[in-house]
Amino acid sequence: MMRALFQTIRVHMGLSMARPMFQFIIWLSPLFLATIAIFIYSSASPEEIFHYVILGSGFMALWSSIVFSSASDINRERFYGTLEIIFVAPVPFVVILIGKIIGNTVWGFLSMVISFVYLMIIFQVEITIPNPFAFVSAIILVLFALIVFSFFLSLAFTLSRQAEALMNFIEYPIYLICGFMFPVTILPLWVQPLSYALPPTWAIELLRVVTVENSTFESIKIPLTGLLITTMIYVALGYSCYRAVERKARISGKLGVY
Amino acid sequence: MEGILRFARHSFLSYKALFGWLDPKVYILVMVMNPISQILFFAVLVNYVYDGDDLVGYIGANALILCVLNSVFGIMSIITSDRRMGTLQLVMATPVNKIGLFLSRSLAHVLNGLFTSVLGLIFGMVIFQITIPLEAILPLMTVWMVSIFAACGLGLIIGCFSLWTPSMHLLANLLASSLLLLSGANYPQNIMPDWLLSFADFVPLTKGVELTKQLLNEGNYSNVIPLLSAEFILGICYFVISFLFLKYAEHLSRVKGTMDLD
Repeated sequence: MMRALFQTIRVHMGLSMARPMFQFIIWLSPLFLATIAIFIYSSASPEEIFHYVILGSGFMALWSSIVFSSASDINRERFYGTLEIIFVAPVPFVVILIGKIIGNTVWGFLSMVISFVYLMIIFQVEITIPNPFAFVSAIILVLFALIVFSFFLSLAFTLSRQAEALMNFIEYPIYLICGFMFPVTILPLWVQPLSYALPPTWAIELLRVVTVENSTFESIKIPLTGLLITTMIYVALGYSCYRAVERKARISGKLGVY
Repeated sequence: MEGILRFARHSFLSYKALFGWLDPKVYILVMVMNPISQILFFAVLVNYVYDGDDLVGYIGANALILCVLNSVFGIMSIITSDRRMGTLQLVMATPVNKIGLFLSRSLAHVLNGLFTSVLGLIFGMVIFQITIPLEAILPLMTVWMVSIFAACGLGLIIGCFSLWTPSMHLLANLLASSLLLLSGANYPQNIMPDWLLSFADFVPLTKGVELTKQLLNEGNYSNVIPLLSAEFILGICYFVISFLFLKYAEHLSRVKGTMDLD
C-alpha cells in the first residue's frame, strides 16, 4: 500500500508538472503574487510585511497550486477517460487520490518557498523565525490540514459536476474569506463565522502566531485548536463525499459520465 | 450598410458560439462571480492597507482590470476554440478579409469587457458605499472603452501564439498577471522601479488605470486626451502586429500544413 502511495506521488508530480498551467502556478505565479503584495505593503511595518506579504503571498501561492490541481484532479481523470480504470484498480481509489494530493501539495510548498526566497533576494525582506522547531511543526500540521481540505474539495467538486468552473472561481473567495493578506477581523461580522469554518484561516493564523517573537503556548493554543477541530470536521466531510462518489460509481454506474 | 450589419452579425454569432453551449450557471460563476470576488478581494485589501485613502480610484482601477477576463482569455479563445473544434483551417482558408473577420470577432469581447468592468464598479460602489461624480461617467467610459480595445489587441497577439504553441494557458495567465502587476491598479505607480515603469508604458491598461484614478480621485481631466490618444495608438499597434502574426501563420499553414498540429 505504501509503495502504491509513493509511486502515485512520484508519477503524479511528474504529470502535474507536465501541464503548462501548473508550471505557471508553481514557478511564476508566486513571483507575481509576492511582487504585488510587497508593492501594496511598501510602507508597512516589518511585522506587517512578514505576516501579510511573506506569509500571505506564500500562502496564496500554496492555495493556487491546490485549486488548480488537487481540487480538480478527479475531474481531470474523468476528462482523460482514465477515472474508471483508477477506480477499479486493486489499489484503493482513496490511496491514489491521497497520493495525488500529497504530490500537488509538495509542489505547492515549493511554490511557497520560491515566494519566500524571491522576497528575500530581490526585495531584501528579512525573514526571522524565532522558534524554528515550532515553525517547522506548524508547517507540517498546516500541510496536513490542507491535504485534508483538498481531499474534501476534490470530491465535492466531482459531485457538483462543475469542477472546472468552481476551480476558476474559488481562488479569490478563499484569499478573501481566509484573510491571507489582511486580518480576518476586518471582514464584516457575518463573514467571520465562514472564515473560521475553513482550515486555511486557522492555518495562516497559526503560522503568524508561531513566528511572533516570545510566542507562548497560550498564544498558539487558539489557532492550533481551531486548525485541529476544522481539520477533523473536513476529514468527516471528505469521508462522506468519498462514500457519495463511490455510490455514484458502484450503484448508479455514473462515475465517468456524472 | 450591409457590410456593417454583417460585421455586427458575425461578432454576435462568434460570441454566442463561444458561450452558447455553456450552462448559465457556469457563465455566472466564471464571468460574473469570478470578477466580483476579485474586485472584492483587492478592494478590501487596499481599503485596509491605505486606510480608505483614494478608495474610489482603486475600486475604479480594479474594475477596469477585470476586463482582462475578456480581453485576454476571451480573445484568446477566438483562435484556440477554432483550433480545438477543428474549424481553424476553414477560417484561415476562407477568402474573407481576415482583418475584418477577427476585428468583428473581437468586438463582442470589447463590449463584454466593458460590461464586466461596469459590473465590478457598481458592485464596489454598493459594497463600499462610495459614489462617483455624474460628470465623470462619460469620460470614464470612454477611457475604459479605449483601454479595453488596446488590451484586446494584446490579447489577440497572444491568441496568435496558439497557432504555434499548445501552452496557451501559461501564456494567457502570464499576460493576465503581468497586466495586474504593471497597471498599478492596487498601488501608486511611482512605487514601481523605473525600469518596470518604462516597460509598463508599452502595456495596455496602465494609462487607463492612471486616468481612472485621476478622474475618480482628483477630478483631473487634463490628461485624458494625451494619455487616451497614446493608449489608442498602442491598441492600433497591437492589432496591426496581431494581423501580421496571423498572416505569417497563414503563410506557414500553406507551406507546412501544420496549423492544427502542435
